[in-house]
Amino acid sequence: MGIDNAHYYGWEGRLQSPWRSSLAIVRVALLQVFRRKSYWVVLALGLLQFLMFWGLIYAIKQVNFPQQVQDEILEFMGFEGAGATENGYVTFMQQQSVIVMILLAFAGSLLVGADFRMGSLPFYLSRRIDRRHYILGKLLAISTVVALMTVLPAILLFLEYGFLTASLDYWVDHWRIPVSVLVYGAVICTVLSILIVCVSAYLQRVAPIAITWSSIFVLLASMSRLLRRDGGSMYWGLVDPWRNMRYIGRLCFGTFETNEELNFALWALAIMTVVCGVALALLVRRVRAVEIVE
Amino acid sequence: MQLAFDNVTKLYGPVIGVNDISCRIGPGITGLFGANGAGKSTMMKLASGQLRPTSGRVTVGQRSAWSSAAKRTLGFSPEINSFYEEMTGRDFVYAMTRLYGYSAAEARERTEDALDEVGMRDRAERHIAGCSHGMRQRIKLAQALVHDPAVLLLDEPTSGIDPGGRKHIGDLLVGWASRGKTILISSHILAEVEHLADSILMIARGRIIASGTIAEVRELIEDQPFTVEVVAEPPRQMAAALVNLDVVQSVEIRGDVLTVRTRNPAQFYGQLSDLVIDGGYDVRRLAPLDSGADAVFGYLEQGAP
Amino acid sequence: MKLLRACGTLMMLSFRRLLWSTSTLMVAFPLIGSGLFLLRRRYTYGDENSRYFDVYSAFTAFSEEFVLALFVSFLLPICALAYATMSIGGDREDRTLLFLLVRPLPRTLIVVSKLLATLPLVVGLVVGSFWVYCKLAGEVGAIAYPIYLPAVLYMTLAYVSLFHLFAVTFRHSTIVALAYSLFMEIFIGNMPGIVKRVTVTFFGKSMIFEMGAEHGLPEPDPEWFVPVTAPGAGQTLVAICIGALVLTLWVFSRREYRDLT
Repeated sequence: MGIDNAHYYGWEGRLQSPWRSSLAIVRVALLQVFRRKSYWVVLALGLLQFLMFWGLIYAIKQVNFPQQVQDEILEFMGFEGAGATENGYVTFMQQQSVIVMILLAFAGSLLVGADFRMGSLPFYLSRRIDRRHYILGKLLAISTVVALMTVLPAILLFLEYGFLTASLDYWVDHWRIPVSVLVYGAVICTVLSILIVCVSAYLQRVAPIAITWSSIFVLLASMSRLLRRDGGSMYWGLVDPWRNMRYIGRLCFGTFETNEELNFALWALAIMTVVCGVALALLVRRVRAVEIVE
Repeated sequence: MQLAFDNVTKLYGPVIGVNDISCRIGPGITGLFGANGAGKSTMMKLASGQLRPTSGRVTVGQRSAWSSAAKRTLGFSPEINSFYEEMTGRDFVYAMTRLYGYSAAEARERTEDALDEVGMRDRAERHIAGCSHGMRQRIKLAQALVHDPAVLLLDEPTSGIDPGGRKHIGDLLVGWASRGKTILISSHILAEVEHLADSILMIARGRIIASGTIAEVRELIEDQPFTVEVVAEPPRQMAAALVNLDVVQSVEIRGDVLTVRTRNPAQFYGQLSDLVIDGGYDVRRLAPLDSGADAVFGYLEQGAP
Repeated sequence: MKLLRACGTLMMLSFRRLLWSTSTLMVAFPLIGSGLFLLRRRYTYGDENSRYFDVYSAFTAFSEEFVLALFVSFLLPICALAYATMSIGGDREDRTLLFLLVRPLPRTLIVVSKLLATLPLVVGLVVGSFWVYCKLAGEVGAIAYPIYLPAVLYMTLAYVSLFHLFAVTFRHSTIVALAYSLFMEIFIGNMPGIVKRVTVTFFGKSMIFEMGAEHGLPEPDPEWFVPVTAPGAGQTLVAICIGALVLTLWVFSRREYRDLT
């Protein structure tokens, strides 16, 4: 049968840039994640923290606690003193680290590891896109998952805080808060997405990804904390990636009290840049290594 | 040994996998045909003891298919292509053989025999990760028949195998069937399996819509049109004579080829003999066009509840 | 006899596959990292380079910082997770479990064989690494090893059994195990009140606190942590282990794994 008889016809419209295909990859990836019950279970665990912050902010603003109790609650939440600063929201994002880590171990194996393990990569790369578009799509998808657990709830808490004050001045006076949340969120999303996509591309299966990921984000954080104890050098903090990301976020606003802190932040930036650069290079190499029959 | 389904229903939540199926399978080769989602895989999973029926009973001999005792007499070659990829084909079949409890020496011997039977003996040292689709199929087949099972369940056994390999496997299955084994083959390649199968089971929407030999099943659908191609001289005169027969619905002429449609093939063949003798026609070819399993399945599926 | 041989084969097959898996390679990194941590943060005492004046303070620091904060809370569950969820979970993930389910092995024996393949690996890794760490820690390690070993062993058994239960119950068992060990165990384990008694860590820590007390490990703040007795904790951990194993056998022998084909 001739191809004309089979009613095939060429596409006569104008094809859009392949970079837009990355958005399609993001959409498909997010649907893949949202379809899994495990995602919603982990999300529910992450919401516990959010609901606790939400409830505490509500209680502080609506119940007349004694000043001392109020201060203690604010301190517990990471808000310094009686007024809210960006640190409280950033603290919330920082405390989501374990849940984000678990979620990313899951998302990494599902969205990237499975592509390599099941040989799905040719389905992507046999289109009009190359590895750059594939990598960007996956990075954006992972970033969205991270943002949904960190940036979005932090912004919601900021909105809640503002709603519960007598006027809307809170939002105007503290405009730096949402901006700092967004910047810190951008740093987290960039670093985490690059690292998890790279780790997942090489390890592929859930268990090794989970072991590596938790070692990087839980074990190193614990070690860093212990090594800084009892007069240990502050620079041991540089082995804690979450701490580094937080300092990079703060770097954008220059909120450092000492030169040592600023220096630390610059070191953190240098380390994370090198780590992400190496991860990205390895990732590009890995995706290129897949054999596609031309 | 027979594989029996007695009023078997399998529900996946609100979805019906198979619905009140009853049949006896074997000995010999039975083909299981059905469209995607018809319930073939569910039947295979029930027969291999991976699923338990929601109601009814699936038995291998006298034992429930779910029991481990039944699995001793059962060999299953699944459709999936998942293996212990890091192993060689030989090691994989050997490991699977040892899981039946054979001693190392006996397992080794059975492994070699099974690999030999499926034509993989010389290629079994290759790691499974590097094996072609056809080689994987043969390895699956080898692990299924390595313990000389009385009942062999094969899910798409010839998919991905070259024509020579298909013939080899076909001959192998026929040989096994002649030794009294029960073989159930689920396949989409109807044309091939209908030549192998002694009987067929046709399944649609979770129900068995027909069972028996192809010819028996064909008889079940007498109200369906049946097409016969006749090459005869002189074609026009013969077409005119055929049209006059009661059982003939229509005749189409293309050159010297006549395409005849009838609702009653048995009666048609009887009347055709008389017509040819009386008219002195020179019939060079007489071939049914759609008595194959595909056509039968098509007709039956349309009429399935 | 045939059944025993089949179980032995399955055990060896699972053991080999787990041993040569990527998990072994990846779990080596945190174990080596923890060794380096110990070398840096030395728990020696008495001399001018030491941070501690006497054996009691060094032992307390080693117990609190390393044993409780790192080993018991992170390394032990991660080692258990690396193999226990993968022994059946890996077969589920790869869909090779099908090849085991169609063999004439009773399902309960499949689980037992898998468990017996996992246990030597996890116990060997946990106990072996703990021994090495105690050697690296020096004198305090020599004191800590024999007294903390029972707690470490009981916790290992409890985690291995629990993670097997997760593996036969949940499709994404590794993620569930990770969420359990790093979130539930830590989150609930650090909550005030008796709610923390549902965690494995609570009973392990109770044993460690009691065993370490005679060597100077201070009792925990009763407002946050009221330990149970060491024998009671040990019995509870064994009960968790047996309970999880019975549940695993029950679930696996009844469960239909529809995602295998």
